[in-house]
Amino acid sequence: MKLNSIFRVIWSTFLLISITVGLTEQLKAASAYEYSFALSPQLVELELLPGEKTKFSVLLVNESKTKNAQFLVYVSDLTEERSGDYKVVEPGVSSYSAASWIKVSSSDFVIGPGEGKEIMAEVTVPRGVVGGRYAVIVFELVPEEKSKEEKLGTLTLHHRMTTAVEISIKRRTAKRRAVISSLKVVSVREDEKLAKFGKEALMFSASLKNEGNIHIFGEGTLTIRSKKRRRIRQVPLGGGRGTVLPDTIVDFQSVLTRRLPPGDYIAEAVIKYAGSRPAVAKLPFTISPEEVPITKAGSFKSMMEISFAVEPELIEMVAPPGSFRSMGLVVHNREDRPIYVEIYPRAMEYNSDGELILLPSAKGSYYCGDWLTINPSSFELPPGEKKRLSISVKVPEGKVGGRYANIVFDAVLAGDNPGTTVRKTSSNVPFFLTISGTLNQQAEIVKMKVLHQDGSGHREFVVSFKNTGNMHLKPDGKILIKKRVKIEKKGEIEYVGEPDYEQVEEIAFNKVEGVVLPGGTRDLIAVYPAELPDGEYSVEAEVDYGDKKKAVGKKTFSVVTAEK
Amino acid sequence: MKKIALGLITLALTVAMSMSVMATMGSLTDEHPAWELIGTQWSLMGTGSVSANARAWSSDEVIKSCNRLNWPISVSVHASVAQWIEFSITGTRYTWLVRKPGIYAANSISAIIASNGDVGVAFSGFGDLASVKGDGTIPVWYAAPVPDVADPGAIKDWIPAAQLTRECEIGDTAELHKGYTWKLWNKIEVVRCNTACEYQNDACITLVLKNQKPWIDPTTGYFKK
Repeated sequence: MKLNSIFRVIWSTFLLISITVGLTEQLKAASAYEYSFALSPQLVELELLPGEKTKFSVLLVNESKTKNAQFLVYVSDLTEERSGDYKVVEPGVSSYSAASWIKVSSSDFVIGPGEGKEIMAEVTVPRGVVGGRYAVIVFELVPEEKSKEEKLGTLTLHHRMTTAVEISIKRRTAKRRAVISSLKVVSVREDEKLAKFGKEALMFSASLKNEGNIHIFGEGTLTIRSKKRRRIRQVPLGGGRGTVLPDTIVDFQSVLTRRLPPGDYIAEAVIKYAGSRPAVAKLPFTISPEEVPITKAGSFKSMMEISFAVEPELIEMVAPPGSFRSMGLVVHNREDRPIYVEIYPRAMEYNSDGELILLPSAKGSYYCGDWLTINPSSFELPPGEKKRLSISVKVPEGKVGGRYANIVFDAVLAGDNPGTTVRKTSSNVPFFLTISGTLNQQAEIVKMKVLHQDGSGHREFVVSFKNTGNMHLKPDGKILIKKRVKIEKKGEIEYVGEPDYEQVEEIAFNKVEGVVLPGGTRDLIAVYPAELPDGEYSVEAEVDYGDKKKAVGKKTFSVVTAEK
Repeated sequence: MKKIALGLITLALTVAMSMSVMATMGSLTDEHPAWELIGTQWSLMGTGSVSANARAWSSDEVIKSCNRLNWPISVSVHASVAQWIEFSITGTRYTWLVRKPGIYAANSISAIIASNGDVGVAFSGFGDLASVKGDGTIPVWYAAPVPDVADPGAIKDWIPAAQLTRECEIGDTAELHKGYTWKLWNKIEVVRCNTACEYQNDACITLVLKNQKPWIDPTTGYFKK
């Protein structure tokens, strides 16, 4: 009896301990972080007038279950690294500091577990300031008290969370100006950090320098052209907000994960930033045939463009035969020096990628430059000033359909001679005239290609659309990918009718920029971003243009997976 | 009656024993496994061993799970969508107790960062542990392998503490939304001439707004016919 009781006690104890251990582990697994915080917002953007005051708040929450957290709060200066990361620096370091403009409601406080605190900040903008100013509110966690136990070495970490403050002073004298100060291309051989993208990766890096007095938001595009200027590839250049503080250089980078075939190329970087002109740079480079390629770059050329704007950026006019029409344009000099502007018409066309090409001669059956009168056709414009000019067209009798010309605006700094090697910037305003009458909207699909990308299975469908009418068109549309249905042979009966296809996918064409002029051809592109199973396929293109008009095309292709 | 008494005594004993067990388990401290470099191999010393040549702690319990609370955050009128950030850390002080010279490593500094925007992590003030008496230093190295490793033998790039000034590369936006974990391994070398006193280093980790990141080609290459 006693032995049985003892046994039962031991067994019960064992069971109870097992259950307790299990519960404890579950509780620990479900327990919250002991030290956890949330902060919002991490960025405050303000537009204020000189002399204006405003307030904003920042919320700091202690998400810890049991720990109190003591925070120090202070305002400091803000600079920006080349990587685009903001950096906290001592007040007074930055020439564009707003640290002294900002007062916070609390500088030292304790937040209990599960509690939050709203910190108010008041901004007072002094009079007489222009451009942009910047600061950062720092929330620094005070480390715990040191343990009294003897230890050999101690690393004390001060954790800081930040709220950046960007202030734009509302004044017309804010100067937005940026240039690309360098453009580079490197391969894995030259930068080992690229190895994680594959041995054929290439990194393009354009450094944008903000020469203005206010922050800008850069949006970059990288175009790679062959030596004959044919566009090979166009991709975004860099990503993220794209913010660049004044007097700062930030790198805009893109990584292409598979190399270009060996040969000579030109890289073009264009970064728009709400200035009158984008920052542009070109770099010729060569790719070697080695397995891990070497890049050899030529001379980098940054286009120091003259800052001026023309409005409108496109002229579209409808006029009957024998008529006269006129409209105004405005040229705005955004430089701090006078500029000299010359204006003249040129013949133009768009290539298959939709890029504007100026033709060397003023000939062509759709060119109307000879009908145009520009007044004045040249002038000097003081800094910051605007000039209105008129462009008129006299349409001859008996003409019908579309007529086109490109109005070229060449600007140089006054005192420099146009036509010399000094800096000249050109702006193009396309002129589209539709002469009312028998308008012929006609087009056809002249070619279709199915391109396959190794490794990823991506397929690119290229549909060449040709304008065979007498006026410009803006095509849009889609492709339908269909898979041939296999019909099983039943005994001796074999199906010999038309092949049957079932639809696999419908994909819209990538956005078409601009128009297709009469006689011109445009490549419309649709990408299928996945591998297709083996089989026989057809791709049907439907392109909408004009008034309820459609051009169609069809092509068959096979998918055969290569033997591994 | 005797059976009832026996049952109650049993229950009392069981509860007492289980509480004792829980107390023991609840005193599992914030000690982290430490390794010692012997020759060219790292040897795991584990935790809780009073005879271990070195032991490492952080000032709080090791994080085992993430419990991100959702707070209704008032949005500033100057931003259409406020960028928030959540930051969870293992502690604010990291200590070593070393009994004899050697090279030791531990994986004790970790954090989880979550945000709906791009965040950069800046390191500053990192350096060797300096003697409070001013008569020597203990060299320190750091590493943040991605993905994390199970033991320091797999770490190829140890960075001297003074060179830990680069920004931490946070994963992509989707990862940052869910919560991105980074771990900072640290390694110290204690030599015979290190005097018996305290050594320390004060450093800073700052979370900042990130305005730029590289664009990575999502496709693998170029098309061919």
